[in-house]
Parts: sequence; structure tokens; C-alpha cells
Amino acid sequence: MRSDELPAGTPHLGQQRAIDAIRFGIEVERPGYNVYVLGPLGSHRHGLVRELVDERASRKGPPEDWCYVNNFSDPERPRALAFPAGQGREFRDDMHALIEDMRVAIPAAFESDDYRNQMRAIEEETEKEVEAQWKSLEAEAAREGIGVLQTPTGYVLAPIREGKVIDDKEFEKLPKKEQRQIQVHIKRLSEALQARIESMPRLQKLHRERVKALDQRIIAHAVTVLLDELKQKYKTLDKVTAYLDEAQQNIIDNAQDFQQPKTSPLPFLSRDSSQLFTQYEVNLLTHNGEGQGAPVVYEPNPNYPNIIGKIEHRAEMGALVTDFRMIRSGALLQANGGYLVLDIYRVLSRPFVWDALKQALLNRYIRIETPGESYGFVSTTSLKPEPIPLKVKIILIGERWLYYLLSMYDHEFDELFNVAADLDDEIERSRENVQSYSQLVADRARTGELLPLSESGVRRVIEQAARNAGDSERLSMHIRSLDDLLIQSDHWARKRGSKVIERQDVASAISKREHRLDRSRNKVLEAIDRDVLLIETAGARVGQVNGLSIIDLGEFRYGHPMRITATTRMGTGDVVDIEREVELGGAIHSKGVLILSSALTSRYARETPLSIHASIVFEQSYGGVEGDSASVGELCALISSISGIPVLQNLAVTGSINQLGRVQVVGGINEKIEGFYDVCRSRGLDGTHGVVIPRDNIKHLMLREDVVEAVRDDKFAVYGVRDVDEAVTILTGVEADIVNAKVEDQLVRYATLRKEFSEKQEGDEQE
Amino acid sequence: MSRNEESQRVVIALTETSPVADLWEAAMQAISGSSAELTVIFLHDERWHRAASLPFTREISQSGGSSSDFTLQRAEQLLAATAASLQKNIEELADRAGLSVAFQVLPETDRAQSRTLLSLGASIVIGPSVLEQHPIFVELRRTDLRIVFVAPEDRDNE
Repeated sequence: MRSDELPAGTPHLGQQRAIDAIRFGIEVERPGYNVYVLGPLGSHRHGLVRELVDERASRKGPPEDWCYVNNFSDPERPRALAFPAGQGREFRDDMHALIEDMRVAIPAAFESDDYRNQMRAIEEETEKEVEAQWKSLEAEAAREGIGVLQTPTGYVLAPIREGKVIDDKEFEKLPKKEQRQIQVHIKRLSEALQARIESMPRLQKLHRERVKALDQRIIAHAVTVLLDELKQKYKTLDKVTAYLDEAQQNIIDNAQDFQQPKTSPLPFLSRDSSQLFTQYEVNLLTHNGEGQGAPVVYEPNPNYPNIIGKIEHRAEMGALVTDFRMIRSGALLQANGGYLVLDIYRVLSRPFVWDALKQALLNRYIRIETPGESYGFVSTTSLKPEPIPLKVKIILIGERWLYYLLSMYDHEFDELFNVAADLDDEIERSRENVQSYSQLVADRARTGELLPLSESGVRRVIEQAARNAGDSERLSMHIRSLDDLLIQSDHWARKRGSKVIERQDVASAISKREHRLDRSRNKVLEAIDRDVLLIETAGARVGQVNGLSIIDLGEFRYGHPMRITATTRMGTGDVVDIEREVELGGAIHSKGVLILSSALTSRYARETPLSIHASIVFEQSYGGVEGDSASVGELCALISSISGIPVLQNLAVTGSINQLGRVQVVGGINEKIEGFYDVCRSRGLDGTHGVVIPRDNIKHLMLREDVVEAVRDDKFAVYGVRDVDEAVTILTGVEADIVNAKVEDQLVRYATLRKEFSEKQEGDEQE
Repeated sequence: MSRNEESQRVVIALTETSPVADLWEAAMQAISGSSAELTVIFLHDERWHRAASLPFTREISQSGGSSSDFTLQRAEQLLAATAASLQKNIEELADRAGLSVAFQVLPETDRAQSRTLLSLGASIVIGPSVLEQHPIFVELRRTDLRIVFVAPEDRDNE
């Protein structure tokens, strides 16, 4: 059946456990029930999470809207206001409209006839008081024949006669008594004048107070009506009405600031009264429409400001300034009341984010501040916005190793993320699952608007899924690899003008992809062909075995035949792993060699001391060896060396052994077989070539089509072995009993020789 | 040809306390629509100098009430500052009106010079109402010269 004829499949095939875990995590509304989704890249984990979270979020009501407003008593600590969903935006718009109204109403109030009349009355009252003081002084002075002359900066008291100030000559002509009297009067009047001048600031203060009271009355009248409407509208929100009360009081208290002075001595320093209104604006941080569900936020770049938020600054007269309007929310606040999806790798690779995220979850509130302030590095004053209660469900998506690493080393991690959703990498290749996988293939082709696949095309895709799983009985659930294969198959199908993706198109996609990536593999094959890398594929050699290793380049891996050699002689029972000696062998490889040493001693000449010295090496290996998959090959090389029975070079071997000689499974079996097959094929397959593998690996075989064909045509063989004896028999072409007997004999001979050698040495020493 | 269209010489007389803006406004009304030669004469009185000649006279500051000797040098200084301030004020007004203006400073006691400057070729003399009884103006009023006295916010006292 073609893929476009298949019914829609089960979404997220094989991921029921992970789906249940995610659902559980997002449904439990308790602190700490955040979710970590474990799965490799390309496993469609984002799509799965998004689908489940969206479904849950749509059934929840929208959370509160949050705003920051000015804190009039402490502007450095802006106040946070919460509103039912949708009302935050409404409040912002209402306050904006209020400001616009005030921009008109306040200047109009100050220019009204009522204000002018009252102002004139105050000025007249003050003038009268001042004038009364001056008049009384001038009258008193006039009675004494003294005039009060005004200069640009003050007053001068001088004697007046016949309406004119007298000069020094006229003064000299006056009788001495009168001269003294004039001076006495002037002195006394000067003191009175000084007293009046000193009382002027008090009068001026009184005047200012009267003007201020008038301004406040006028502005209160202008804004009270406007604010009362808002207070009525938001009367159920206590914090909001308290804020409106404070705003009203602040407007009234600062009434005089709203009067723009006509001129300023330093215009660039003068404050534009229109700017005063901005302090009543509303900084809307989150808003949610009525009828919409809880927010679901995915932050692709989870750096500190994007997660926690930030406080912006603007340059003003060479200094950086800020206020509540420049507070910006981060993803945490945007997702408050809903769900925040983050890639853990990205979170951990951005400075300060992980700590800040945990702090917010532990404290259950979000405090918007810079990392510098959070860590106490900054001493300059900035804003300290009121923390906002946090109720968010975080879904981290990441690889398994990160989960286990965090679990082990971060003691807060388990407390905060106690739901793990582990995505399966593969599913069983059962009849039902193959059917479901076919439907998945059909779904992905439909979703990606690709050509439909023929039945054989689908089968080939399923084979590749098994190959990717490295197991003929399993199917890989790596969705990105599936999508890539389908897209590339579509390309090759269209290229040849087909309306359907056939098996050959899928095969083309696989081989072309390999071709794009196999430069390194070709170099290795070329080196083997040119005898730069020495691999024999014919004849037989003592102590020399063709082993199989894997080169993993991430996107591509291939098998690399390696020559393993062993040498032996009489000794004291030590087996030297040359790789380990030069620190090119990894820990697991060294363990494998120790196990094979143990296997050797447990199998042969158990009642005589092991009297050999053996050394094992991977020839022409310069980059280090890891893993124990060569231990069967190493033991066979050792057995061959001890027994003197040669190993067939047309065969290669892989597998690990235990101390009892049992052959155990290894990874990358397909690539290893194909690696040796490629070498043999390039030299010409003659029907004798083959590989010896653990029997338990047979189920993992998903070989390339050309290898399968060669095996079918008896040009190449794959032998599954259960224990070392079977491997030895195949590799040497000699029955294991015979080989083992030879090994036994040789080990006994070494022991005898060693004993004789020791006795002779002791005799020589005694003499 | 009407009087407003003739080229005129308009003289403004000022004292230390004259309402400059009002006098200027009256002058502008007088020369409205015609070209005019404008002269401003600052007639300062001798009161400051006379008071400064006395050995005991002190000036009391209007900001704070502190006092200091009021000397002839201080009187000269005040007169110069007042004249400069008036001249600046007048020149700004003239700039705005696009007119050129001559500025003269004379003591009110110099009657001969004052009378000559005020009356020579003048079409109109505009002065503050406080000068209405000043001997020079009493004398000028007896001539054909058109004289306008201006009180603060009252420019029609011809």
C-alpha cells in the first residue's frame, strides 16, 4: 500500500512513557514539579512537548496581567500591579487617556479666569502688606525730613529739604544740632528699614504658600473628577486604587511643577512639564487576552536578560538614567501562569542563567535585576522593582548525560525538576510497530509535503530505521534522521521525474549521503589497497589476526580493519598490552586485555605456573584504542603465537570475551563487517572471505544490501560464535581441541624450561 | 501728505524709574507707518550724587538688608549700570522693530543741553508722566512741540 493510502498513524509512536511523564509533570500544579525531557537531538522532542503543553495550556484560563508603575514615595522601587487577564492593557490605556486629559485640563485650569482672579487677589493682598510696610516707613521718614531713595540694588536714606536731597555743602550750612538730629533719624530709620527688609522673606514665603495652596486647589479640582472615574472602575483591585490615590496626591502635591516657567536662564536644564506626566504612565509587562489559554513560551536564546528581564537605560546629559518605564520582562514573566520551554544545554552555556532560574523557582518570585546587582558586583544605584510572584511550569529539554550530570552534581536540581520524561530512542520491530512506523513515515511525508512512498519505498525506510538502531529487531525513533531520509529520497525521486518515492530513491538517498561523508573511509581503504596500512586478506600467519574497529565521525561512522599481533616467549607469566604501556589504550581496552590474560590462565595448564612473556599490539594504530571488542581477536592472536598454528588472513574477528571464554556482543557490528567486506571486495572476493562475530550480535545485523547479496551468493561469510573455541576453530581452520592441546603443551614446555633455567641459575649462584 | 507719512524725529525722555515698554509702545504708535529718526534721552536726576556726597549715607541691600557706604564712586557706578541697562533694553526693542536709535545720557540739571536735544527738529517728544511738572517740560509745553506723557498702562495722556 502506498504511503498516501495509509491512515494517519499514532502520534509520537513508542513514546507513551515519555508522554505520560510529561502529562503528569504539567498537570501537577505543585512547586518542584517541573519537567526534564530526556532525549537526543532530532528525536522530535520539541514537537512532542509543544503539542502536549499547548493542549494543556488551552484548557487553562489566562493568568493575570502584570504592570510596573511609579512608586511615588520611593521611585527606585517601582511597584508591581496585577490585573485580571486583559485589564492590564485596559489600565495602561486608561492611564494614558488620563494623562492626555490632564495635559489639556491642567494648563486650562491655570489659565482660567477663576485662577487668575484668585491669583490676583493673593498678589494684591501680598502687595498691600508690603506696601503698607513701605508706606508707613516712608511716611515716618518724611516726617523726619528724610527721603527713601531706591537704587537698582537697594535703598539709600538721605535728608530732604524743599523736595530735594541736600548735598554735603547744604548739609554743612545746617545748624550742628540739626545735623546731629538728621544722622540720628537716618540711623534709626536705617534699622527700621533693615527690619522690614529682613521680614520680606517671611512675606514672600507666605505669598508662595498662598500661591501653592491655590495651585493645589485648582489642580485638585481639575484631576479629581478624572481620577474618580478610574477609582470607580478599578474599585475591586485594592492595590490599584491605592496607587490611584497616591498618583492623585502626587499630582496635587506637585501642582506647581505643571506650570511651565515662561523663560529659563538655562534652557537646556529646564524641565519640560509635558515630561512630568510620564511618571503616571503604566509599563505593561505581560498581558493576556480574555478567552485565550495559559501562555506557552519557548525562548530559543535563553540568556540572562531574555529569561529574567532587564532594566534599560538612556543617556541624559552624559549620564545613564532609568525609570520604571524601562523595565523589560523576560521569558519567565512572559510565561508566568503558564509554561516555559527551554533547552538545558543553551541555558547552561549562558552565564548566570541557571542560577537565576533556580533562584526564581526556589523563591517563587521573579526579581528583575541585572546579573551585576544580583551578584553584588555593582555599587551604583539602579532600580529595585518589586518582585512579582512566580507560578510557572518549566520544561527543560536536553540530552540524557546532562540530566544525569545535573542530578549528580546539583543538589537543587532534583528538588526543582522532579519529573523526568525519558524519550525512547527505538522501538521493537514487531508487526504492529512496523505498521505504525509505516503510518509515521506516511505522516511525515504528508506533513513535509513530500511525494508519497511506494510500499517498497516504505519498507526500505523501515530497514534503514533498523539499521540506524543498529539492531534488526528494533527501529530507531530518531525523527530528524527519518525526515532527512524522506526529504533526500523525495529529491532523488523528483530528479528522475517520478511521482512516487520508490525503494531505489531511498537507497539513492542513503548511498549519496554516505558518499558525501565517506572521504575519510575512502582514504583508509586507499591506504589499505596501497599497502600503506598493512591488512592481509589471504594466506595464514602465526600470531596475526585481522581485528575490526570503528571510526565515529558523529554524522557518519565506518569500520576500519586493524592488524592485531601477539608475540610470546618463555617468561614469568606477564601479558604486556603495548597500547596501555604507551598510554594509547583506554581503561576499557586495558580491562579487556586483563580479562583475556585471566581467560588464558584459566583455560590452559592450570596446574603449572604460567611461564610466558606475551605482548599484544594494534599495529599501525597511532590515535589510541578504546573498548574491549578486540579481546577475542587478541586472545586468538595470543593462542596462535603460543601454539604456532597460523590464523587465516581472509577472515577478520570482533567480539569481547569474559574470563570463562564466552564471546559477548559488541557495538557497531554492521559497520565493522562492512569495513572488512569493502577491503576484501576491492581485492576481489573469492568466497573464502568473512568475519567472525559474537553469535549474540546476529540479531543486530542490518547490513548494506551489497553485503547481504555477497553473503547470499556465498562470496562473503559471517560466522557467529559463542565461545573462544568456536572462534579459534574458524580462524585457524583447525579443531579447537588440537589448538588447545598445542597451547597446553607449549605452556607446560615453557614452565619446564623455566624450572630448569631457575635451577641452573641457583646452582651457578651456589658455586 | 499726512503727518504719519512724513519723516519724523521722535524723542523719548526717560528717567531711572520710567516704564520703558509703555513709552516705547507710545512711540511706535506715534510713528506708525512712517519712517522716523528715534532718539532716547536718559535724564537722570542728581539725587544719588547728592546723597553720596554726604559722609554718613549708607546703601541698604534689598536682599538681606546689609548696609555699605554709599560713595560718589558707587553713585557713578549705579548711574552707569542703569544707563547701560536702559540702553540695552531700548536697543533690543529697536532691533525687533527694525529701527535705529540714538541714546543719550544727560543730567536733568543741564537744562540748556536737555532743551536743545529734546526740541531740536523733533516732531514728537514722549516722556513719563512724572516729568510733566519738570521745568524743562513746562518750558517745552509752551512751544508748538507735540508732547505725549505716558503713565504706566495709560498711553493716551496727550
